[in-house]
Amino acid sequence: MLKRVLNKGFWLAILILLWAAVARAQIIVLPFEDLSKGLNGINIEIARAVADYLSGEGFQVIYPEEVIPELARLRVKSPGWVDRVVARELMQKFRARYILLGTVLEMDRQEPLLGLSVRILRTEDFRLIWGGTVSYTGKDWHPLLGLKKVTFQDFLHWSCERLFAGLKEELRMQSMPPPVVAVDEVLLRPRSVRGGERVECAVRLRISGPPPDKMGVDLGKRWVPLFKQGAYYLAFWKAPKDEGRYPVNLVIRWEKGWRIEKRIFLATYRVDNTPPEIELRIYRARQTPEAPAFKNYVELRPYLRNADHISRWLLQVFPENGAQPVISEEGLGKLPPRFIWRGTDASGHPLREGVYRVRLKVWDQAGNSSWKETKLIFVNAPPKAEVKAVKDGNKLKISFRIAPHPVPLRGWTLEITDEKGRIIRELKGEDPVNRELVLKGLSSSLRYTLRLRDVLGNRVIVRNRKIVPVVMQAKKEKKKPKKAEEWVSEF
Amino acid sequence: MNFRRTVWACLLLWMCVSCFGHEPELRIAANREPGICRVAVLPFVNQTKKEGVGEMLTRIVISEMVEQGLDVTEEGVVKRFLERERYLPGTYVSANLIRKMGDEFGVRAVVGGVVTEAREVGQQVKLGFIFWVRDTRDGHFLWGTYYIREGEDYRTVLHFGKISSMSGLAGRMVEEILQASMKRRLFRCRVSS
Repeated sequence: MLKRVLNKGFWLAILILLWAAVARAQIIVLPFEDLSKGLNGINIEIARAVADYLSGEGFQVIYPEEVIPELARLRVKSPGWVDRVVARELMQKFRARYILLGTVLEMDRQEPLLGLSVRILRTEDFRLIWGGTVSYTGKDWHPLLGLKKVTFQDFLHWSCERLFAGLKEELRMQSMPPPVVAVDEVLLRPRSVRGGERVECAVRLRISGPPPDKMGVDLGKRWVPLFKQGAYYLAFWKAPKDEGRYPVNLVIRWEKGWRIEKRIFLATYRVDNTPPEIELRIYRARQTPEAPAFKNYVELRPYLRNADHISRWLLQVFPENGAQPVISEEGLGKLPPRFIWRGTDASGHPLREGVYRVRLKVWDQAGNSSWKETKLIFVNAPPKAEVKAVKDGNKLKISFRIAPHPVPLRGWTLEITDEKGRIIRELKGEDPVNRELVLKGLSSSLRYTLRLRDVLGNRVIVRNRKIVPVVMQAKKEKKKPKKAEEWVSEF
Repeated sequence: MNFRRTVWACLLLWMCVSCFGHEPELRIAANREPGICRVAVLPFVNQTKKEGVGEMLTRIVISEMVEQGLDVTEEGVVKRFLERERYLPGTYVSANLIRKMGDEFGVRAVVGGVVTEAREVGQQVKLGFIFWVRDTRDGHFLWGTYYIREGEDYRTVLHFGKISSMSGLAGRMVEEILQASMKRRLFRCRVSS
């Protein structure tokens, strides 16, 4: 039982000692350097007053009088500054964590005037952790109606209050580990945006330590505060007008205590005001004066002239003078490397020959859009050709006609042969034609061979086909029936 | 009525000009890197007849920098170093010396300056000094300013705002320089997680 009580007492004592170490930090107050007395001036009164103030605030203070013998032993000439050796010796001697170094910048008890500068040095790592300067002068003291007189003691008290305001919290915080932040999730949308449009950022954080004094996102030239909503910290802002990539950094500040700022890179977003420049290259088609033409299928390959990220595309095929698309196909994300069109509609039924407009519209991730349109001629049949013959007496009129075709012809040949296969007439050409031949004194059993081909390869070959003429006959005059010349007996 | 309005408008304008007209003009090198946190302060050189102004300004600069959250090397260490290096106060600080300070104290920049004007006549005080920051990697000047002010410059309405003590004026001027540098992120302490 006794053992248990003693054990508990031991741990309680340890806890009390730890608490005392944190709550009652030991500060050595060195005599102040007094510049109002010259370069080697020393002021113990002010230093003592400061020590009294700190003691009253609950700090464990080593007074300047106690330190002077040690300073003399260490041959310190000026108490306004100390080096590492002196700091360590003082720490060992007084078991103190902090050294307060002060300078009286200006002092006049009559005027009154007081200028003080102090800094506190942490002995364990020789770092300055606290600093401050105050200055009060009666010349600048203008009470209402001049009723209240201010004294030097007032200035001294105010100086102490101003110089050490928040010191207790600072030292308490410094005895704890600094806060830690972990970013669990970052949502930034849109990643690509047009200038002036809204950008949203949501961050999920875990913070170990006291709540920060300031939280926001640093956008380079702008600071946007974060506000909490549910589990997320949110920020909204309008994207700048100028194009470019902008970083988004999370900045968390603790103004008191550690005075630290944590800066964490979150993401970047891009301001894009330029629509994508698209080019539509056509393959498997033959260039004609009017437009590229194709027979079986055409291949359309889209190319982006500027490096842009496409988020959506739409391909439409319109008749030449129509507003209703015969094909409409769209997709999300990257553009396909090629589109193949076989001259069919959306259901796969072949379309009529003719001119069509193919339009490709694209949207980039910022929402900028552009489109490119090109004409295509679809021809999947040869040109229509017609050979007719008319026989008028011993004349044979042969009319030969090739109908107009959407694409140029590569060439045509018409051979007319007699019944023994001898070529009577041969015609050649490269354009649509409408001609008439008159042949005399020939037998009526003629034959023809026609070869016709357009630039796409659509062709007609008619071999040895008989020409069947239409026989022309002269119109016979219709004789009027003769009236009966005989009298018919009346009855 | 119009006269009254004009008088009020002029008064308002004057107040605004008085309140917002103080900001040091910083000369910043083109290749400077922002966000310096660890610095050492050299004693300011006093080129005036007023004794102790250099020391006063040095102490104020150190205290204000610590107050702003910068990691400042203690003055005692800098003084010991300068003694060891046989540096004569007031002479030019060589790039080599700056580099050595960087190596020894682990600082990114060294701050120094020259007090060129310090006058105190009656209630009128005037202070002018050069404040510079040099890179410890090569000794090049990162940024600096020549700042000169009178206590009267801070007067706002009637006698309010006016500064009549040298330490008060120095403290205010140093604070303005540091705030301007913080605003431009020349000095900045940050810890990234």
